[in-house]
Amino acid sequence: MPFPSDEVLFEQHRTGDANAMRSLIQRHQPELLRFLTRLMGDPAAADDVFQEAFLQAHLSSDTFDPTRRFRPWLFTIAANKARDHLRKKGRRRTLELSASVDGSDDGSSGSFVDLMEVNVPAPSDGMEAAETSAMVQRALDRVPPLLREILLLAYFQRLSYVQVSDELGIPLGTVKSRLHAAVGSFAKQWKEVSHRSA
Amino acid sequence: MASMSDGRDNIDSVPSDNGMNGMNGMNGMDRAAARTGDASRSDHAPWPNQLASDDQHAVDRLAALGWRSAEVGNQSNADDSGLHAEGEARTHRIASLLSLLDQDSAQASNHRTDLCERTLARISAAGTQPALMTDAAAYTPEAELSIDDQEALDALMLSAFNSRRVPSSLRERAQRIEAMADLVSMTPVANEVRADLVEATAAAVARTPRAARSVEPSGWRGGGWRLADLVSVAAVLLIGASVLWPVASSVRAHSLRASCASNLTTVASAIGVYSNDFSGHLPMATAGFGGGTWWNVGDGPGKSNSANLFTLARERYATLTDLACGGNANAVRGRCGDGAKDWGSIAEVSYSYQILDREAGESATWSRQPDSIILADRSPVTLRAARGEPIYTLENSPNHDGRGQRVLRNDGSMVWLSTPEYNGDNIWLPGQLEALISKAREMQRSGLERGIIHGNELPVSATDTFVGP
Repeated sequence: MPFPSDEVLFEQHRTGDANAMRSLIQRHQPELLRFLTRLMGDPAAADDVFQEAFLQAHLSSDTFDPTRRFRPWLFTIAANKARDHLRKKGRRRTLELSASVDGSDDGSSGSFVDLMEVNVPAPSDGMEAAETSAMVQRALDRVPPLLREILLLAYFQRLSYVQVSDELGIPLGTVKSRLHAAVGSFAKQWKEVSHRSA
Repeated sequence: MASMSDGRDNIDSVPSDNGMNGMNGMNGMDRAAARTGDASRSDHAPWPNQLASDDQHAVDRLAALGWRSAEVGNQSNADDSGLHAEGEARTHRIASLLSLLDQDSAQASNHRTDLCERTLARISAAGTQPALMTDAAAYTPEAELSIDDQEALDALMLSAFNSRRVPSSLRERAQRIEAMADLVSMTPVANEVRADLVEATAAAVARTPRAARSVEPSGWRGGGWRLADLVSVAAVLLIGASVLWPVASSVRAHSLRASCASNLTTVASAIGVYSNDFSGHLPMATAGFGGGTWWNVGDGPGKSNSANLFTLARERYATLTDLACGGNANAVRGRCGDGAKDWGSIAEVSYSYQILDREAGESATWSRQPDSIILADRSPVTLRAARGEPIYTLENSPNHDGRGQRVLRNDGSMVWLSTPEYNGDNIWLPGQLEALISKAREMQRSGLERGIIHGNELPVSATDTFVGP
């Protein structure tokens, strides 16, 4: 029996199926939790926002457009909740708004990144998963928030440029430039973080 | 709603804008990038840490393949598109780099089962509580002004809410804020204290014994309304209506003008991004009309100048909502459908665009002639002419009840024209017709004959403003 789609499960939840929401949570937990953990840099906060995102989806179930895809809607709710959470905790600096556009807060402007010079550890390198994960988070925390958010949204939802453009309502050209910049920024930060740890 | 492509987007033809002027995102994610096309502000800095073009292409390929390395191997085996060895290596390298995002600690893995149960418990506790908002995905509980709007508001307040004293780089935004503030302050109540009203009120209170002072009308206790009460209430209602109706009408007009200004600000930004992507050119869908008419909206780019403007929506630089004036009841909103190249009919078009005909020598570019107009509230002249009706060359746009029209200049600035003439140029007409009309000005008062404008006229020069349909 084929697995029901997210949209079918959500509709079942709306009509009172007690197990439908459990299935949705279990299905999306790995990717969504990973997305939130990377976005917020705090596993405990990611847990809270994870719950709040599903709770909000439940509370807004009557207003969900069944012609939409559930997963991008859920991720967008989660991203909004994460942003609100960070803002309330005072972690969103006002300067971030301008810094996120010119992106110069990572200390380097106008430089080019060659991805072939970026080393990614192989499983045989002997690094502990926790150690690698911590380094990845340190590198991500140094990526401008605007770029970090679009990169994680696209990557964890596996969205194409057109899908990102449609979901976020921004031009294709802008999607391309931001994702290029996001990958470049992450690569540069990973290079620096991994170099310091070597 | 996200379009469900198969992931193989043909995005190679869409250039990156290198960080120049992102548009506002609907869900607030792009609030920080809400910059306008104000040419006097130098905020168009490229992103740092630029990728070389080979790496950019590799990112594009990976995105089209779902961001996972396994798909790269399938792609190179599946087709003969020439994914050469180095390109594949770069794509694999990016996929490996991004796969780091998937790594998480063992603690996080063990934590997940408990998280599911806690989430379900919270949902059960919430029960059937009604939705708190209309669209959770679009909800942003703390709306934020963009940085530019914050600065404009600060400058306006420091200038005692006089936008003329605001620095020129912020003045356009300050004027918009001022217009919104005007809506609030439009209340027909005198500011100064009226001594006669104070005395009359005090005297009425003094005459009324305390025990009898009540919020109930005096007729209530008698069991019914007195005729005098009815007459008084009717008089108040009539007077109130006569005062409020023009106020409400004026408030609505101000609101529409402010909304239009906001639209054109967004359109200016979109044109700026487009021109940056296309070597400075203004949005165009066709090189020319081949001498044919350009007001056949919906018949395709070669027959409709509106298709040139529609390019912004088709290429996702703007939405149909941005190109819809609130004063046009037939305007369509939202995103354009896949494959759409123009509005469906002339009635749906809210803004008239400079007639572009590259074959006739036009090479209109953004910011090339800063004092020329490229967009205006829709032309009443071409609306009438297309319907075969007499035209009135000095008629104002129907978008704002004939009060005037807002125009967008080639440098991104806007002005409000109370007549369709700008620097002596009638924006509804090409130069050759204006020359004819200047010789027969007396005829304008009674309306020109039908057929004087045919829909295939072109501007006489790059500086001749002539918008339509």
